[in-house]
This record gives sequence, C-alpha cells and structure tokens, in this order.
Amino acid sequence: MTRLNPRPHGRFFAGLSLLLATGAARADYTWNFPTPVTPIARDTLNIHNEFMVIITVLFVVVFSIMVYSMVKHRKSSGVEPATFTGPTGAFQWFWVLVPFAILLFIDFVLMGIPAFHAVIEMEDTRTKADMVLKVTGLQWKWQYEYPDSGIKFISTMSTPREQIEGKEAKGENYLLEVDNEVVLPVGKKVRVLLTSTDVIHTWWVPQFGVKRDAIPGFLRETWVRIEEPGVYRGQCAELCGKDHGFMPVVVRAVPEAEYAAWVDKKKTEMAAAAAGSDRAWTKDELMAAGKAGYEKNCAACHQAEGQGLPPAFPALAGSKIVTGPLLSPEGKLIPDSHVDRVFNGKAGTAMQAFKATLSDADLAAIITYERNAFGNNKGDMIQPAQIKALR
Amino acid sequence: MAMTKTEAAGAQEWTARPNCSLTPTARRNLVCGILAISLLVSGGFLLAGAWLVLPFAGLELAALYIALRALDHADSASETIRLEGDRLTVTTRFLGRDNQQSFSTAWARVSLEAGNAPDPLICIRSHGRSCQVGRLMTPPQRHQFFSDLSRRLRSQTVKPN
Amino acid sequence: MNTATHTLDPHAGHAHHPTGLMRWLTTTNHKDIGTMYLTFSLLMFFVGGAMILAVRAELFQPGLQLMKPEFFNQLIGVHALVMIFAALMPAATGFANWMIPLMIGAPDMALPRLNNWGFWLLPPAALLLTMPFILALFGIGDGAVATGWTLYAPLSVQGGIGVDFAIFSIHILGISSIMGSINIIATLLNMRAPGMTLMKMPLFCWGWLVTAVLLIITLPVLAGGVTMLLTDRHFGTHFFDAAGGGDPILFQHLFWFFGHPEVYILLLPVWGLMPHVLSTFTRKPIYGHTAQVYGFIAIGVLGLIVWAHHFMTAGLPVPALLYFMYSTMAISLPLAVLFFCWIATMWRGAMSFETPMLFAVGFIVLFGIAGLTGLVLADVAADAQYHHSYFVVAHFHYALFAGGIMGVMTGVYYWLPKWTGHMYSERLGKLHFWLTVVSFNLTFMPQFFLGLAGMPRRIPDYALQFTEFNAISTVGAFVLGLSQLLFAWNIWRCVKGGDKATDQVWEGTSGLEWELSSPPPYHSWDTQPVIKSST
Repeated sequence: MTRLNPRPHGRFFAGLSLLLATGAARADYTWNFPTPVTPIARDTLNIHNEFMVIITVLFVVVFSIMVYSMVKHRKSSGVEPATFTGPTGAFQWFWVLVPFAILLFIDFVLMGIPAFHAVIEMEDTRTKADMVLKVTGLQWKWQYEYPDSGIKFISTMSTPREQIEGKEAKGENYLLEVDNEVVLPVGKKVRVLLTSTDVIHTWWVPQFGVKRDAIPGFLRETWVRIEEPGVYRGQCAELCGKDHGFMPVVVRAVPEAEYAAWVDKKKTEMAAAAAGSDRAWTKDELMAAGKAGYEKNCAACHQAEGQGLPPAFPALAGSKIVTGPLLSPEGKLIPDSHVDRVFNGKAGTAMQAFKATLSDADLAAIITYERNAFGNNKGDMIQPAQIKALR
Repeated sequence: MAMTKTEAAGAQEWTARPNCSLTPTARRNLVCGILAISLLVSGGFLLAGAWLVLPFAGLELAALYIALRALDHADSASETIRLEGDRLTVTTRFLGRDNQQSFSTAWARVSLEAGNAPDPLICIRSHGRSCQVGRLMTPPQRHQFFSDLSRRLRSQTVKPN
Repeated sequence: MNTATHTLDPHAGHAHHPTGLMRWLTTTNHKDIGTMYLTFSLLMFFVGGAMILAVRAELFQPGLQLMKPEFFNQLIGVHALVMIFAALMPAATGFANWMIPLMIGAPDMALPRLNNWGFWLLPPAALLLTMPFILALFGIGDGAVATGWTLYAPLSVQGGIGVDFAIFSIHILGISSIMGSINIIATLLNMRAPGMTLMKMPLFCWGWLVTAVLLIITLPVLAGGVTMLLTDRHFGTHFFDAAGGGDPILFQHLFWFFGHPEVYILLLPVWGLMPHVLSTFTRKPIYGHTAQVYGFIAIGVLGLIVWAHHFMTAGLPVPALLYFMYSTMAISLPLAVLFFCWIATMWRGAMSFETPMLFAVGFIVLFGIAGLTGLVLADVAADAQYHHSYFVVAHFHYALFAGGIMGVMTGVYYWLPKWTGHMYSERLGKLHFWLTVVSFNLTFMPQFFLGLAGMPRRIPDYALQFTEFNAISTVGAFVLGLSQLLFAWNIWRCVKGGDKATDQVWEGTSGLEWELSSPPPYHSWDTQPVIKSST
C-alpha cells in the first residue's frame, strides 16, 4: 500500500508540530505499514488491512447499537426502564447466540485461515533458500556474516553524536544510517540466521515484514526475498540496554551482478586487512587508527575522553587495568590484563570479547591508543603481529 | 446464622452458630483444586528446568491452608442454651474459650437489652448474675428465640403451682 | 433482588478505636484499610505519571534533550512497575476491602490482621523500587532497574543494583498480593450473608474471586522466576545462560505465565464493577448475571494458557505459534459475552449520565478498541510487524489505562458518596471525564500509527518520520497528566465536605451496600442481614 497523502487534518497536525518543532521536522509520517518489498511483508500488509476492516466494522456495528440505546433510552425522555435480565424463549436465545456465531466465524475462519497460511509461509525458511546471511546482535551494533563467501563485518550507527545532542542539524536518515550496510541480492531467497553474543536483540526491517529475536547461545531464523532494489532501514526492537535506540539495521538490495561485484570488492578489502596484521606499524599509525577504532567501538560506553560512566562502564583514564603490564615476558596473555579484557571481554557485563569482531590491526591500534591517550601515557605499543600470535 | 433447636424428653436446647457460607466439602474441594492446578503448573516448570517455582507454590499453599484453619477457629464459635428441668444452662464459646453459666428457671428473668451493640441482645438475669446471648443470631431469630424462651420459662414456672 | 431485613442505625457502633497515626498503623477495620489502599494508589498514580511525563517530554522531539538513554530506560521500566503494582492493583484491592464486606453483608474481612499486614508491606516495596534513583544521586549504584518491567534475562543479569532492588520489591509486593488474595477468597466464600448463594453473589465480588484465584496460581511462578534471576546474578547458577546450559527464553515463559493473567488480574475487578454502575444509571437490573460469571471464569482459564503470545517473535516452533494464536483469539468469545451483557443492560433502560456512567461508557468504548486490536495482535504474521512496536504500547494502554484506570475512576465516582457521605462536584467530575477521554486518545491514538510506521518501543530517540505523531502524543500526555489533578482535587473536596449523600446515593442502586448509611458506620453488618430467597 502506498503512503497516503496528508489529509487536511494531517496537514493541521503536521503544521502544529512544525510550529512546535525546533529542528527541521519533515511531514513524512504514514498511517499504515511502509511499502512492502518482500512476499511476507505484502502478505502481512494484506492481512493487516483485512483485519483492520473487520475490526472497524465490528467496532462501528457494536457501538452504533450502544449509541442508539444511549440516545433513545434516556431517563430525560421519560421512558420506563425495562426489567428483563436475560433472554427468554427460543427466539430471544437465537438472537443472543447469533453474534457469537458470527464472532466464531470471524475468529477462526475469516481471520484464522489467512493467518494460518501466513504463519506457515513465514516460518518456511529452508525451502529453496539461495543463500544464508548470519546476523549477530552485539551491544549495540550488528555483525553480518556471509558463510558462502566468508565476508564478515560489523555495522554500527554512523549518525554523529552532535546530531543527537542537537548541536548539528539532523540528517535525512537520522539514527537510521550505518557505516557498513548489509548488501543483499534482489530476488533471492535469503535465509537469515540470528544469534547474539550478549543480551537479546531483535532484528527488524519494517519493509521486509519480518522481526525475529537474536538470542544469545541460540540460533533463530527467518527469511527475506527482496523484490525491489533500494535501501531499507530498520532498528533493533528489543530493549538491549543503554544504546538500544541507536543500533539501526540498514540493508541495501542490489541486482545480482552488482551484488557479485560487491562480494569481490569486500573480499579484496578483507585480504588487505589481513595483510595489515603481518607488517610492522609505527606508533603514529597505530594511534591514528586506534582513535578512529576507539570512537567507533568503545566510546559509547567508555566515553570519548575515557572517563567512562561508572559504575556500569568504568573509566579507562588512569585505570589500573589499562596502565598495567601489556603482555607477559614470553609474549603471552596475562589473565585480567588490559589485553585480556579487550580480547575476551568480561562475563556478566556489557564488555564483549572483541577478538571475535575486530581485526588484528584494529585491536592493536585500539589497545595502543587506550594505553597512550586520556593522560595514560604508558609509552608502550602492541603490534598486529603480536595480536595475531595470541589468537 | 445457623440456629438449631432440639427437643428431648423434658429438655430443650437452642444452638446458634455463626453463618459459614463455606461448607467443609466446598473448602476441601477448593484447596484440592488449587493444589492440583499449582502442582500442574510448578510441575511443568520443574520439567522445563525452573525448579524454583515449586517451593514458592508450596509456601503459598501452606499459607492458604493456615488461613483456612484460622477461619475454622473463628467458625467454631457457638451459643447453646439448654433448658432441662429447673435448670437453664447457657454455654458460649468464642475464639475457643468456653463460658458456662447456670440459672434456675424459677428465678431467671429474660429481657431484650440494647447495650453496646446496635441491636438488642437477650439478657438473662438471676441473683445479680447475668449473661447475654444472641450475638450469633440474626435479629428475627433473636426475637423468635426470645419469645420462645419466655413462653417456655413462663409455662415452667406456672406448672408446679 | 437482595433485600436485607433491617438497616442499621448510622450513629450506633462508633465504638472505641485508636485515633491519629496509631489508628492507621494498627487498624484491622476493612474500611480504614480500604481507604489506605486507595490513598496509596492515588499517590503512586501521580508518581508513575510524573515519570512517564518526563519520558514523553524527552520524546517530544527527536534528539536527546533532557536525559541520557540509561536514565530513560530506568524511567520506562519503573513507570510500568509502579503503575501496575503500586497504582492499579492497590486500587482494586482498596475497592475490595471497602466494598466486599458491605456487599455480602459481612462485618469485616475474614482475616483482619492479615489485611493490615498486606497493606503495610506496600509502602516499603514501593520505596525499594524507587530508592535506587535516590541512591544514584549519592553515587551508590547506577540507578533503578533499566530493563523495562519485563526484566528479560540476560539484560537483567547484566544490570546494576536496581535489578536486585526490583526483585526484592516484587517479592514483597507478591507476598502482599497473596495475603490479600487469601483474605478475599476466605471472605467471599465463608462470610456471605445467609441466603446469598455463590450465584447470587454480586458481580464485583465474582470478578475479585477469579482475580484472587489467578493471583494464587500465577504468583509463585513470578516469584520463582525472579528468584532464579537473583541466583543467576549472584550465586553462579545458569538458569538463563546458554553457556551454562540454560535458556533466556525460559525467563520469558516464567514471566509471561504470570504476566498475561496479570492483565486480567488488573481488569477483572473493573469488569465486575461495570454491570453495577450500568444497572444503577439505567435503572434496570443487570443483564446476564450468570453469563458474566461464567465469562469471568472462562477468561481466567483462557488467561492461563495463552502466555507465549507475548513473545511470538522469539522463534517458537510452528505448532506452538498456531496454538497460542488460536487460543488467544478464543479469548474474544468470553470478552464478547461481557460486552454483550453490558450493552444489553443499557438497552431499554432509563439512562442518565452522571460522572460514573460517563466513565463507564468511555471505558466500554475505549476498552473495545483494546480488545479489537488485541484480536489482530494474536495473528502471528501480523504480530511480527506489531510486536515490540508502539502499536503494542498503544494497545496495552487502551487496555490498562482506558480499561483499568478509567474503570477505577468509574468506581471511585460511583462509591465516593457512599464512602464519604458527600456528593462530589458533578461539574468537576464531568470536566475531568471529557479532558481525560480527549487527551487519552490524543496521547495513544497516534501511537498506533507510530507502531505501524515502524517505531520500536523503549527508544529514547527516534528517526525523523516519527516526529509529528510523537509531538502530538506528548501534548496529549501532558493534558492527560494535568487533568488528573482535577480528579485528586475533586476527591479532596468530597472528603472535606459537600452536599449530603442519601443512603441510596443514586436513584437506581440495588444491593446490600446501599442499605447502609452514607458514610457507613465504622462497624457495619455487626449483625448479619439475610438475603430473601426471591430474586
């Protein structure tokens, strides 16, 4: 269903809020689901529209009777109240039971049958699936993995803090934009596998009509077949902590040829990144890459200046762990050391095991940065090759 | 309010008990029903690995049982008035405490007295001793009992003459 | 139908009872305890309301203006817990305490001392729930529970001390509810006046009887669930941790096995109250008394077997999805019985629209919207779109504000003259009604559209296409919140004075409670009334 044009009253509300708005509010609201781009979403929209008609009719019929009664049977119009307390006789019983027969029909036939078929279709993730996309929820970003081509990357919100804090004008895709979009081919049945590393997240793109929880330690699945090329935006839908509102899902659907080209490009990038862990980096290079990596992966909790948000998110500036020894003399991991924390995370907290999601170069850069920024000034550094040896 | 009257050879007895709309059978069915459902629920969760539901269900059923026992205690209250020969015996039992007083029919005087309560109770007096009955009766029962008892006492005192 | 054989003298029996603070601390009088429950409920209604107004203010415009996301998460969760456990449930318990003994002709509740304990557990529990906010100001902990009221593991395993406080608070609230339930069951079953058979028991009492039984069945599950959360947090168990062989979804089963019946626990007393109000203001007997009793029981039973529709996106197996879908749809049948009976009670009556009747009609219409949207939510495929979105937020506020809180307001306006002996201001009452209904719809109707457009719930900031509806919703919420001050003001004025209410209060009332004076004597039904066998 296409978006309805703003009706006069819609314009009134839009005008009202424009008056109230401080920023650039756009009259971009809708009265129904966004345009569906998958078979499931189209199905869901049809079912939804049908149901809305049914319940609107029920509402109008039932309450017309009530309103009629409220107008007709008023004390002020001098009527004598009746005294009946229930149906009497077969005729009345018949009329009492008819509404329930109708409701039974609506529930289990009119609504129940299309609903049954929709469930079966939605849950059939395996039949004729063309490819698999693995989605992992992390606090507060998504990791995407293409098992067929070995591509794996993290997708983080790219809306700047300044826009959120109102220091800059908000962009068009405010809060719904990421650094790495998931790219999927148009017309292919994509089986989406979902899991999480920390808490429950929910992967949701409204135009796909699917929403599925990502549960730590379990694999859940759903599927999409995108019919139109385009960029589709959604959000995490299950409260997952502090930045739950800031973990968007952005999917770019492209024709198959373009998808193949993207896969090749991504593979080359990954090879380059892998090569990065073998060469020796200078400290300035590490610090520059570390600052960028820190701001993307760490600053949401530990804050840009390393002051943290105690007690949930400890400060890194002057932290005993960060300013502690780097590695053991043999180049091994020291338990509960700085490198161990970044590598393996801390159980029972939001601190995750970054060795699963970051490259050797990123890890080396971030660790080096943390040890030398925020007035920590340890002076030491760690090379990507050393990280690689720890894996 | 359950009011019973028994008559035997030369003796008469009125017993008033508080109104308990919950019969012992209904109470047993209630407790058993809730017990069964609770066991079903906590048993199901036990199988699913959530064994900690069971102790809470147990604690709660124990509380329910204790509460119903406490009701029993309150429900055991009674007022018995027995007229036999020339003795009028009044036995009251409130909160498990028994109190018995005996009067001679020749001297006992019966009256309706308001006292503290909003409705009059039946007061039996003799030789400076007195006792009140009727707390467990409804007002109509009380009036019925009062006229009943007065009539009996009158006929008793009249007969020897 | 119920006629007592005599009426008490209103001025007798004002016997000896302590005064001042000690009266309230030690009282075992059902009327005092009812008053305390209702006062506490009103107070907490404003506490929970203030929290959500702060949230709505933050959501007025996109961007973070007033608070950090972590504080936002605390406010939404504590708002829900306060409104459900400290405002709505105590209000219904307050009604029960005041009215059940009056309605069934009992001198008091069956277990008066238990009743007193049940109430006095509430303030400490509410304090425990909100204390982490204050502790955080002094640098202790990181604030109140920030997981939403659902406390889903593993987010709650990760959370700060706020979660522990919430768990203990829930335990205490649970104990209080159990005490209340046992007491109500005992009172209703054992203390009815002679002649009042179960089927002749007033519908308000029936609603509460089913509520109390539901509480007894479901509360151990919640208590067990949150205790397992506590042991997972501090004692190294792995009930909800997949790494240790547990399952996070188990918590959702436990939570919603309690959580879904909880909705009916909140609503059944209100459904019980409605026929009385409708019958009074239509001057016509209740239609389908027996049908409504069976309706309550059917809803109670169905309520126990549909819990998983609260997490249909969690990846349940297909047969389970189908089962929970169809069983949820089945709830519409007994609910339709209630709607049918309400409207049939109005049919061919002689209606007048005093404030309680206005609230009752408003309740029926708006709760109708909740019921109908609930019916579409049951559908698994459409639910995938509605779930975790503002559509659900709007749906359950239609159920719990329009259904629950407006139902409570109906009861307050209906019985206030009986409790205080004074009439409230009808003009203020009607103003309160219209402001409430209009601003309620202004607040929550846009949220249906927000949900359809794809706005997830529990987010502190949102994309630009959600701006207009959020702005409208916030304006509505502030009007709604401020209108409730009229309610409090009207109650206060009524308690202080006003026109004398007659014993019958309203022209069309029937039932034992209206045969007592207004206000009823401190000790009422000291001697039992009898229900005549004629109906």
